[in-house]
Amino acid sequence: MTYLQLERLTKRYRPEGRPLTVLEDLDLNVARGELLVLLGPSGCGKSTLLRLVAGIESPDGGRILLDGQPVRGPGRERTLVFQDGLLFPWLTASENVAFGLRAMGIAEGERRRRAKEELGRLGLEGFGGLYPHQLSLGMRQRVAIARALVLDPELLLLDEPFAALDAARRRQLQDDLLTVWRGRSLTTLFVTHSLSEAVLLGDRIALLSPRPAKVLSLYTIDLPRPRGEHPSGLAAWRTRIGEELSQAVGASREPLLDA
Amino acid sequence: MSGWRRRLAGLPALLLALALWEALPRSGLLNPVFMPPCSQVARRLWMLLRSGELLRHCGASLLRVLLGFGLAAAVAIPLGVLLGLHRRLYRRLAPLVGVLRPISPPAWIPLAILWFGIGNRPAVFIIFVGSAASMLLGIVAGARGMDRRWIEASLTLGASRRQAVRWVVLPALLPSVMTQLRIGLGLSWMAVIAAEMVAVNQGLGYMMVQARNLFQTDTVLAGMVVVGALGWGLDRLLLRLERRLLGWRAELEPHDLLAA
Repeated sequence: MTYLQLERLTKRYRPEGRPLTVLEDLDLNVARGELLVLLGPSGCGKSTLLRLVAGIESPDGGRILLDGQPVRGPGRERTLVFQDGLLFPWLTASENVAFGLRAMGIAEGERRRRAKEELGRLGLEGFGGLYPHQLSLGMRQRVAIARALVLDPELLLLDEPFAALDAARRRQLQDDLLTVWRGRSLTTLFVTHSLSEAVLLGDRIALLSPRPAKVLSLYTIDLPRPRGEHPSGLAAWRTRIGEELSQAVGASREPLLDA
Repeated sequence: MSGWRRRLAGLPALLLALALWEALPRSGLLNPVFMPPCSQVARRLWMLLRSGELLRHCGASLLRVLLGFGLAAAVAIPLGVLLGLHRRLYRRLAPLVGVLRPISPPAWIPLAILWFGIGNRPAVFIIFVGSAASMLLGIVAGARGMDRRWIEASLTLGASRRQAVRWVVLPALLPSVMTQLRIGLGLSWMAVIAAEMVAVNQGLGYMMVQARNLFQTDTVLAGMVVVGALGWGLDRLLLRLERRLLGWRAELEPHDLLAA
């Protein structure tokens, strides 16, 4: 069942007058409850796509339909986790998580209780009183995810949330995200330029072309979870997707995706 | 260094300056009529303090600064936030503010007297124009330079525009607002002394001009010492307020690059 529909989505920027087409006639359907990975080279317009779906930018052409209704502006049923977390540095971890609840007008005691609960689910019990600069990069990213999840969104938008982390921490967060994710009925768009992250996480992968972004192919990753136990299957998918990308765009001097 | 040693680190330079100030006029290298030694100025200061004259002048100056600076801040902060986050309005008003800002406080004195006569009102006006434009532009720059994604994050978390301003823009701007307030208070303090050199009959600026007319160089210098000390004290007050309000920031320790 289609939950999110992108129809002929087009976005252009005009830095110093010269138009730059970031997305052109992009079509994509996302089913309810799936984890769809948007995989594409750096700078291809993946983040722009998320910003459009989040409603903090508007398209120059095409439509975004959510349950058949056009998206107009931001809404708390769609929450976006930015690449670097973007916590509010003047709020504690717990207050950061409670931010959206506060905007809903929920009383302080209830906010604190729910923030604590959500932080606990992400393995941050006891860290609620710390400010962002007192937390490690990985912890900050966990707080950012908790801040989005506490609102119980229908659609979670993740913009390369683990890109800045080292490999070990990255793996840990990917696993934790999957655990948290499985416990909810949540549709997720996950943006990355890492092949291994894409095949590890995605129910489906939409492979995007370099700018202007279009969907080159869609893959349904049928590997059982936890996928870490199927290294050969993961490797086969990585090879297949990597080859199709280089076939589609031709040989390139620099690798378009991370391994 | 421990706390009190750190605090007293500036004392030797201060004492040396005072010693030179005492020695040069006494040795005849400086003419004591034009540069009376430090001890004579200290005595004068004590007399002015005991007679209550100094307190009266200080009170008058501080009151004007409080009014002028308070008004300037009350205009500059909201207007600065508005201009910083409203591109069209900014483009329309920035040149106007840009032209007003370089007009120094004394340059406003003739107009202030024509408009307001003499007394407190022209002085308050001069302080206002002397500090408002600079603070305004500083706050506008802070708002324009702020990471816009904070605002976007708050909107995706369901905040209304009003909530985004109150819960995100204002706290995010607090560091630059505090910096601008300190700069503005410094400018106000400079402006009040200039303003008091004409058109008033009390205040530290007035006291110094009167003393010059009577050739009381020690009173002129006593006035300068008080102006410096009070200005420093006012800045320290704001600095303490800033530290209290910005406790969430990581402590910044400046680099020791040029230390031996």
